[in-house]
Amino acid sequence: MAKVLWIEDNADNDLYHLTSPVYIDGEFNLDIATNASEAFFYLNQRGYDVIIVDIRIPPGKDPAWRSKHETLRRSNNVNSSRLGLELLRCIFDEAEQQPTLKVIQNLSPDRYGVFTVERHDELKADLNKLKLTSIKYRRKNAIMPHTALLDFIKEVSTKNGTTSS
Amino acid sequence: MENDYINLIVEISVTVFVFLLGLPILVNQIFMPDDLRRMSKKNYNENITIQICVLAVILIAIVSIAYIANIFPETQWRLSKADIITALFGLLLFLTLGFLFFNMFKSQGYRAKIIQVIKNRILRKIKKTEQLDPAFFEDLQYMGIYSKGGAETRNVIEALEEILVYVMNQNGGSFDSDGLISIIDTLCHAVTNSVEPGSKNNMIEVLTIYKGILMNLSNYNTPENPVFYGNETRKIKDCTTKIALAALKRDYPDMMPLVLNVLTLIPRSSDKLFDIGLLAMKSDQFQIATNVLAEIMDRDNKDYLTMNNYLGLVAHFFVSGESAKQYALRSLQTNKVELTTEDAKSAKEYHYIMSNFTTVDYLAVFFKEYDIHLD
Repeated sequence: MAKVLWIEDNADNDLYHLTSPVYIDGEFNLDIATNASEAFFYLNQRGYDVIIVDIRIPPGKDPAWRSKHETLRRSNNVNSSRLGLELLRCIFDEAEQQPTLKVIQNLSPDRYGVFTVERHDELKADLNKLKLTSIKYRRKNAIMPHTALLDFIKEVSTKNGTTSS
Repeated sequence: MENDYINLIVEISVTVFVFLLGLPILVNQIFMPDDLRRMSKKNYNENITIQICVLAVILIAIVSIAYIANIFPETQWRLSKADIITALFGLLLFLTLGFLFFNMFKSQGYRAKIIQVIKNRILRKIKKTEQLDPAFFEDLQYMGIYSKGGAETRNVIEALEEILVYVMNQNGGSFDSDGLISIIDTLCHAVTNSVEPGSKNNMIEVLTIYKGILMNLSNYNTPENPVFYGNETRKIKDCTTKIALAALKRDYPDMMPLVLNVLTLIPRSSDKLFDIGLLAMKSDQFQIATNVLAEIMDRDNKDYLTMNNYLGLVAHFFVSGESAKQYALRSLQTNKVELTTEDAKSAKEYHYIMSNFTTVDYLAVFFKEYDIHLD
């Protein structure tokens, strides 16, 4: 079974219905991180075949993430509410890495997918800077099907060769 | 003539004191929630007691001077007795009104303030003795259980979260195990035993805190000191299950991914997942039950306990209609479970010992159809 991490703050309420098809499908072990602190913990704790990242996530309880969020917020940086992007920066931008926020595994860009409400063109510049030009992207919206998450997980896992299409 | 004036002032002062004494007591009643006033193990009203004592001392001074003035009318004082009495009376009146208004303003948001007072005292005590004072802690727990509505419980949760930071980082590198267990327990009671209908947001907040504690515990975990397998983790497992069952009864199914997420961080939690799955099936919440079935088996450590609980839940699916049966079969297939007689025997014995008699009967039906004979 492929291991999947879904980083999404609404996974336990508004988007709860998206998890059921993943469980029913039976092909994936799903872990959910609802904020940057939890995501950071899971990424350093377990190896994943697919990591689906939401861009707008809260900092969570980790003091390092709280402080990062606070610093961005004080400087009116638009990324203060886009900590998913900061998380990707901690993983893929070596120049940006702080010792307390260093991800030590799950470093292959092929395993990542961005599943967010933000438009692709809003993120493109940042993703390009991180050399994530070919990262899979899907936009969340009100009319997406119940299988949107499962389909996207399958798309990313097919791309990185975890499962065959 | 002077004595008449003094006696009049004494009468007025006694009246003012008796009348106004009732008001601080009234404020005290407003300031201290009735339930906590009756139950609290510590005194949170020292200020009001001191204020009443000050007023009583001034009154005693007024009465004493009047008494001496009446018994020894000829005695000459450096200051006029009437002036002293007038000054003291003015002071009494001024302080009474001052205390009254001070307490009235202070009584706004009294429950939140009491929680803050208790929290500050607990923190002070921890800094001083590195231990939680059980009496203060029980008062905070009481506030959590008997809070009026979600917002108030939230205050208790936030206070406990602040205390948790200190408990987790004592002596710079260790944590207070007893204190941590008390906090885990109190958080659970505050959201599951509350006399008011439970708030979903508070339950989510508590589960998120549990998740944070588990993450912290994994940092403390070493081969020599496997704290992650200790009492704190077991407590979180029990409390998470209690919250999950309370959430299911209150029809908050959308909390379940988070519940499953917390439980799957804990080793050997398949028994609790089984309980949640079973309750979900009994209340026709099949979506949750399927999530639980998927989560029981998707961990790396598949021991006999996991297998027994998995097969138990599969048996319930098996007898719950054709679609559920198909899902159960598909689950066996995707999890690559090849049922052996030993597995079947172990599952039946385990559920029999746990008094899950319905599950034992369903397992018999399931095994029969699977052509496994245990006799």
